[in-house]
Amino acid sequence: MSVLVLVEPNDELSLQAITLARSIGGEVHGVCVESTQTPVDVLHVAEIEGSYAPGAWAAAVVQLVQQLSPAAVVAPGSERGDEVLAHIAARLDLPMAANVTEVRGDEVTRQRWGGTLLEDARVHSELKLFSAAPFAFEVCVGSTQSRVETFVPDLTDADTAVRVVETISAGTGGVSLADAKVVVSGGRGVGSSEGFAILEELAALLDGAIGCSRVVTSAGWRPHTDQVGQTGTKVSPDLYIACGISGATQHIAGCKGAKTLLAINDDPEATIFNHADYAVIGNLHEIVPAITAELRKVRGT
Amino acid sequence: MTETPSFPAHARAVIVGAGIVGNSLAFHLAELGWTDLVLLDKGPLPNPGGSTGHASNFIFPVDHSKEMTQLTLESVRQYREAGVFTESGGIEVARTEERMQELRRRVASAKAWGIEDVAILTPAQVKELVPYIEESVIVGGFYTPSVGIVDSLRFGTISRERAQEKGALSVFANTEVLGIDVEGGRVTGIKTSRGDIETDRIVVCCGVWSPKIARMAGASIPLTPAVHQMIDVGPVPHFKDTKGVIEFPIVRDMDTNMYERQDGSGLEIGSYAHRPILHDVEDIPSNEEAALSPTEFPFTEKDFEKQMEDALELIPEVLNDESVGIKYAINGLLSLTADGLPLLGETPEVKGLWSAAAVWVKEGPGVGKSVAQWMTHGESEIDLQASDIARFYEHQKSKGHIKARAAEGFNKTYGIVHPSEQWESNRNVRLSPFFTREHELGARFFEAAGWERPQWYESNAKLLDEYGDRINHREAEWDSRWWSPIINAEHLAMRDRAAMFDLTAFCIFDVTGPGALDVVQQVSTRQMSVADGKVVYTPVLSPSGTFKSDLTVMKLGDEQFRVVTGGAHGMADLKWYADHLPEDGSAQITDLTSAYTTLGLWGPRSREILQSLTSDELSHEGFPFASCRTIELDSLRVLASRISYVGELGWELYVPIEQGAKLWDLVWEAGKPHGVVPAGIGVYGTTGRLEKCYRAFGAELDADYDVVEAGMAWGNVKSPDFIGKGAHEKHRAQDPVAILCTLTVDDHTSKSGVKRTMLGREPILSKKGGPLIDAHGRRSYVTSAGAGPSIGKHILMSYLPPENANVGEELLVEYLGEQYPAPMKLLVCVKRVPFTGGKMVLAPDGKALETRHLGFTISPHEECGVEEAVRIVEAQGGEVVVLTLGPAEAEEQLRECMALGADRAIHLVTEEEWDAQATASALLEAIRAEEPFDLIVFGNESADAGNYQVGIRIAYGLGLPVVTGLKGLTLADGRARCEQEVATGRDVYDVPLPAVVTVKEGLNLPRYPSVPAKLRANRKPVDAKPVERSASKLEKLRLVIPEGQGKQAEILGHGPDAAPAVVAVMQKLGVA
Repeated sequence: MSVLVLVEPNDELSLQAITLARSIGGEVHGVCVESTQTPVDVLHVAEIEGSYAPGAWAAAVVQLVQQLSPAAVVAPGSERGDEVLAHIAARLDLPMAANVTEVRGDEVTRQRWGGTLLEDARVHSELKLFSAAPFAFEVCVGSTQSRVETFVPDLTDADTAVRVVETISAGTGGVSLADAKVVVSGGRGVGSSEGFAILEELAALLDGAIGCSRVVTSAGWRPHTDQVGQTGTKVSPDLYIACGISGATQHIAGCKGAKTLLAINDDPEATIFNHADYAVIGNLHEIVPAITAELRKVRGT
Repeated sequence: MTETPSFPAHARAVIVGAGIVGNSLAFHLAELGWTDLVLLDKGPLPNPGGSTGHASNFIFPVDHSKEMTQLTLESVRQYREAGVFTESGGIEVARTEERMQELRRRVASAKAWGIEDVAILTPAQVKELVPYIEESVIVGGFYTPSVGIVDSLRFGTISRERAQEKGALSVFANTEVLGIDVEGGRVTGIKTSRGDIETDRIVVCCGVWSPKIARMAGASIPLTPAVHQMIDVGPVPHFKDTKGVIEFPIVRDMDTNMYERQDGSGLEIGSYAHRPILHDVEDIPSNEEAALSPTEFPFTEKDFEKQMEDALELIPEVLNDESVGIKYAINGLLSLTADGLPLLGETPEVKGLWSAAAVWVKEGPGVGKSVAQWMTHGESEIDLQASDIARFYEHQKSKGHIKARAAEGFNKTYGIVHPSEQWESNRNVRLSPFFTREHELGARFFEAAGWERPQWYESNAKLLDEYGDRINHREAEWDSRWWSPIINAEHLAMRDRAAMFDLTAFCIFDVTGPGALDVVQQVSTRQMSVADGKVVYTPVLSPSGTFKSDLTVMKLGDEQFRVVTGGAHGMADLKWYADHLPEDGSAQITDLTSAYTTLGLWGPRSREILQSLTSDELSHEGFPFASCRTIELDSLRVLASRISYVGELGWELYVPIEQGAKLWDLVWEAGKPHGVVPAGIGVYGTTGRLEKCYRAFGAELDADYDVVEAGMAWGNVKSPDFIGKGAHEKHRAQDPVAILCTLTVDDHTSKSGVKRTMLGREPILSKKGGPLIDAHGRRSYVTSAGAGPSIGKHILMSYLPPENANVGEELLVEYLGEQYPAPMKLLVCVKRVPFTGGKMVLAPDGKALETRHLGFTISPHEECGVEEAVRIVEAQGGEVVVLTLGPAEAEEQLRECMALGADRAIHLVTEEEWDAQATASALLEAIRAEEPFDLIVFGNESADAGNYQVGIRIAYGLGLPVVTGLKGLTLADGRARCEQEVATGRDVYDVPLPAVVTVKEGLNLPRYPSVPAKLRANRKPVDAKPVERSASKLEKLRLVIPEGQGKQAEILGHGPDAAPAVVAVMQKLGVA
């Protein structure tokens, strides 16, 4: 039995999905719309004209499923991965397990609460549909040279009725939160919109981005685009500095991808310290400027 | 029975005709205190042989005319009260889509006139109510449950006897009218086969015989007897077990002009589809000569052949049965008029001779009551202006005209008649002196009071290029029928330059003599004792202070006042003034309508144009607004009046009719250098006046509203007495319960995406779609509708209750069964989840979180979903429903959503969490049980399970498009523009509604509920229903707390002193 994986070019999450697919066993077939170098055994390139249309992608995969009869379809844990897989699930009326971290025969472990809780579940269907939890495993896929097969899926008007009709480029100002190497993030302890000035100064010095917790956006201190968390941006910087953030699961779900987490909080019992690698205890309004000053001193500027 | 009294020599009033109208009128006059009444009929009682005796006796209350609907509703009230009404329900069925649109228009009229309980039905629903119908030939139906049948003869008897019991009425059957005595234009007596009666009031209620009786007095009741064919078949096996006369709704097969109604064991089939068969009064036999009754002519079978086939198609089950025979078939006579409306009121020719004719059973008792009130108080509660017998010009009383129009109108009985539809027969009767010029300019002529008037000019089509995108075109054929975008172009040219209007159809009459001032003071609300050369626009009121008319009066001299009024209502106005001439003969009225023609010239260049033809003073100071004087235009002497119905600047120019062509040529030539255009009544009567909020008689101004409500109580009340003064002063002292407002339409988009344009008389609704009803029980409806080309919007006028009459207030208008701006019906699906803190603790069974110490909420994505839905409804009206599947306690979250602004909730009560697939199928079933939603909103994923799929599954279940992860949403023109945040910026999707979307936090910033909103939420309805547990195919086995939650951080230090250690870490990570 084979496993079919949805892949997107140059995509870390697709590699993670292939990792999960490999763990299931059998030949791994990839399916993509744009041909790419990717470590699967066979790569099926669906020739679909025009911009992204989730229904068209799902239709293509369903046709491939009928042809290959795989044991499972695995999607990357991206927005599009989950979306296309859900379309497939709806079309085939099959259960779908999202955010899977491990597969053991009919049983899976999947993430809940943005990964702060795990669920073991049994899948009651022949064909299994999984999306791979993002950043939940070390990528281990080898370097298979795949055989490429192209096909033209039969698409109806309904399949392409919903599609991207326009793309708007984001402004080019500053480092994007999702890509930043350093994120300086503030929570309730920052106290006000003005309180973020010292965080901004430090972030600028580190060529980093500003993040914040949900409390901050709800209070209107920062735009939602700055929010890190389960319902905000999920970040994976080298260093995440959490200033005055208590560490609710909502927030942790967004920053647990950070390689190093440094927390500054005046409450030594704050939950954030249970997730942090480093802790500084005390008033962030004193500590953050001190770090900025120390950094300048070290740099000699 | 009362004994036959001796034949009286005197009577206060003699009513001729003991059909539904005469009997009812006698009763109502008696109710109003009249005594010494006499009711005569040449036939026997209780069925004297007129149309009442063979009427089909069913009543469909809904009509596009407010007046006719009000008369019918009042009649039904009386029939019910007398116990002669049997409610059966009625269905008008459609065989075509065009008819379905017409039926939806009837729904709108029903609602505008207060008949709420109506519905559009599918063929299957029609079949359910009328099982013997062939549903495959119809596409739908319009159901009015309050339709019923009456016993009109019994009602007549009851009415008559009630009046007799009061001692107010003597009744004489088999008594023929031989003559009417008239002296000095007044009725003095009536001659009958039983003797003569002295009286100064005679009311002709003789149906088809009315013209003959009126002629005896030298007056005219312009109607024609016409045939309506009907047959009775039976016995119908289907009706074998029915009790009573009628159990099944009456069916009107609109597209074939027929009806089918159960009548006991039989079925009556009637038709308005055959060729018009018109008769003369003289053709009607006497009671003795007639085989059946005088108005039941022998059936002409050939005329009914096609109808027989149509009926067979619709009800084959009944008619294909060979045992069902035709038991009775007649050519029944009924009365038709040139415009299809009744003939009510005092005849303009003879004082004291009243008409209550051309009335059908459905409006009989209402007419009886209204005419009785009119005879008593000088006015009636229901405005009868459209039925006023004084409305006709001389040519409209001719037999030729009546027959031409009655023949044309007959097949429109069940027709789809456009509100602007023009008559085809008997045109080109009254031609203005400009007619040849207009014809050359490509005028499209509409008829007004028999005059041919340009509605627009095809030669102005070139203006469409000039004004390009400022012209709003009409997408739907119905909306653009009898209309042209050229009207809007002519309007804009008038506003930019100048336009010429043919106003020959004005009705003009002079009130002259020493008593003239008293007459015009008495009739007009405003001060008439003004300087010579003043022009006064004035309301004309009824005794109760509502509108009788509005018109302008030019003071030409101390003993000469020239009244100018609209053509359509001119003859009634003339009668109203004539009715108030003094007994002493000190004032006279002269009708000058056919003596003068009027040319209107308006627009910013009009002064320059006129000035180029005259040396007379035309400056603003020298010729002020609301003044008139004779000026010389080249070789003509012209009465110029600076007044306008389309807004300043400009003049009405009056010359003797034979000089009209010369006047046109002068102004046309002089106007050419200024870019003058000819403009039609489309501008004058609609766009021009609506932009200036000028009211129109019969639209905004009628007997239902007063001067204060119409917003016309300018200045002080004049000191001289006038009709309606007392009432008017009272109206001024009170707060109005309705206020005339001008509305503009924000969004014309229908559900199908086609832009629709309201034409007038549509119901105005609250933002939630409910009727607006003022403290007097009057409903808000569109009194006038039309383009406002200068402002680029469609304008509606409507009376609104004061609480809704606010600048910026958003309302809906219902047009052809849809509401505009289309109110949105939105569904938001939410899930109750614990409000987690920092640490997860599992419940003992290991399948759920320990929530004893936790609060509950909905996912942040869903909060934004609720907020977005509420904002959409706040902006364009509609309803937000929230739906959840979850434990009984989830009601708490539904209440929270309703505190944020959702209107109601549906709660599928379960005990534990279901997997996404099972959840989706339960939600789907609940959604299908509701009316379709325009938009269904989900959170992108739930906070706890994070399945990312329920919304998409629902979309597939409903066959709707779905867009996920929205951070931006704009609804317009029936489509949703959806924005998704992606790494590179935003992806945009554009999908038609209805649609499913899943949204993300950041779409908006949700509000905090206020205290009143919280309290309101507790009163909003939650529909809780249990659902069957279905097996989860993704079966939850256990929950596990992941490792790493207890990790120990390395403390770098306390306070600012830790800075060097922090920087050291940064250096180690290579980010410093």
